[in-house]
Amino acid sequence: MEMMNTNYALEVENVSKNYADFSLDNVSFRIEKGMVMGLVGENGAGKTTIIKLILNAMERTGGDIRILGMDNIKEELEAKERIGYVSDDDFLLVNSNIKKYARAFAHVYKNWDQELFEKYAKMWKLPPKKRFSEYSKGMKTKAMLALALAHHPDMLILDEPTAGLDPVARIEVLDILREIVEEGERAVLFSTHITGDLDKIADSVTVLIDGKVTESMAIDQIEDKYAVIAGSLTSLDSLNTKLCIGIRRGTQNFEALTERKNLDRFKGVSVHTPNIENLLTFSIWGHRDEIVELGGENNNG
Amino acid sequence: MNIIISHTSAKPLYEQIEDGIRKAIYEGEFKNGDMLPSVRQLAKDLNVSAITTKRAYIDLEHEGFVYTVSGKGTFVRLDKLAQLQDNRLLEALEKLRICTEECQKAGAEKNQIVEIIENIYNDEGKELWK
Repeated sequence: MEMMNTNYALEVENVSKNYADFSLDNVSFRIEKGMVMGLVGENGAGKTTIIKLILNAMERTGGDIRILGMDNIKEELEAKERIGYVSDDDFLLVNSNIKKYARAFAHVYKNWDQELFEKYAKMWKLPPKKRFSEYSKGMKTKAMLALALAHHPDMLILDEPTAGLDPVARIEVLDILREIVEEGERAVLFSTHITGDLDKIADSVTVLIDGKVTESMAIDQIEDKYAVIAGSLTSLDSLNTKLCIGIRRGTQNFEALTERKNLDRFKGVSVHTPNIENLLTFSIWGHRDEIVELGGENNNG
Repeated sequence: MNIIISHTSAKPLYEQIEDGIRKAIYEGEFKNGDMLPSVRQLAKDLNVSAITTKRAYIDLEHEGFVYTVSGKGTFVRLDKLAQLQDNRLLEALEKLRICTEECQKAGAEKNQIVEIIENIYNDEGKELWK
């Protein structure tokens, strides 16, 4: 029997989901209260599937999910009261408006804060009675954010929230997320492929490739563990190539992600600390190379 | 406090922040007990995640440069700096002792050694050997 650990806002343990053509394979990660976690991966890696499983919007094949210590299925209603969610495709009905949505949300959520909602709507210049069909993509995203934030959620789940936003609005959203986690009680799960936003705000990151978590750790630990190296292809040999998580080869030069502990195996290379984009892209390239190499071996055998 | 962050450095961001704070302490920007910006505020100012600034403060605390009072904030500690400066001076004096002995072994008289030091002090050391 596992103990409930309330230091975590979200616990995803060995979660699987099998489809005919894709599966989410034993996905595990945890978000501490007060933290922002980035969930990164290519389109189709399974980011939205995980989020739908957290929200119990689809049935999982296996595993456990706890939101603020509560089972996401057995205690679904209590858990959902404390979740704020922004979807990547907008759920807003074209003929409706934000005022009507706010009225509906006020009935659903006990903690609905009309004043806070109006503050966001005003700040983001969202006309209350204008039909959503006349809203731009950015306005719709801001409308969903205002609706998601106005009941003071403790766990905010955002699926590509900044994708449709202009640069200034993106910075505003990041600042709001900082405020949300400031007191150390609330947490954010932020799924995106705009990794630059995560470099500014994420405390930890989970990398998802083809339905599997390849890494999930705090940003400072990633900086401790990994390095990006660059140099001439002559610096690579059959031994140290195996120490690269992923390599991008040019005609003369290469760039690669490796672990810092292996740096002395590479001569004459430049070194820099990886950002989240480096971690993601080199992990993807490494994964593809493995597939290519395996395919080659099979052909030979 | 002027912390400069490079995203193309081999150093992790948190180490760069530590360097910036240490430099400010060395350069006398703080009085003993001065409060540093909060973890969140510094993260916002530098546009980095809070875990990065938190790690920097934790490391500096382990080194003895700052201390944290929970619920109040993180404060500069100058006794560590004084101690470091003492250690640095002791190390330098030890080097000077070794050098002096080397000079003696090489046949230099006391007045010559004193003259050499004076010349070095006046930045004329190089000319002495011309």
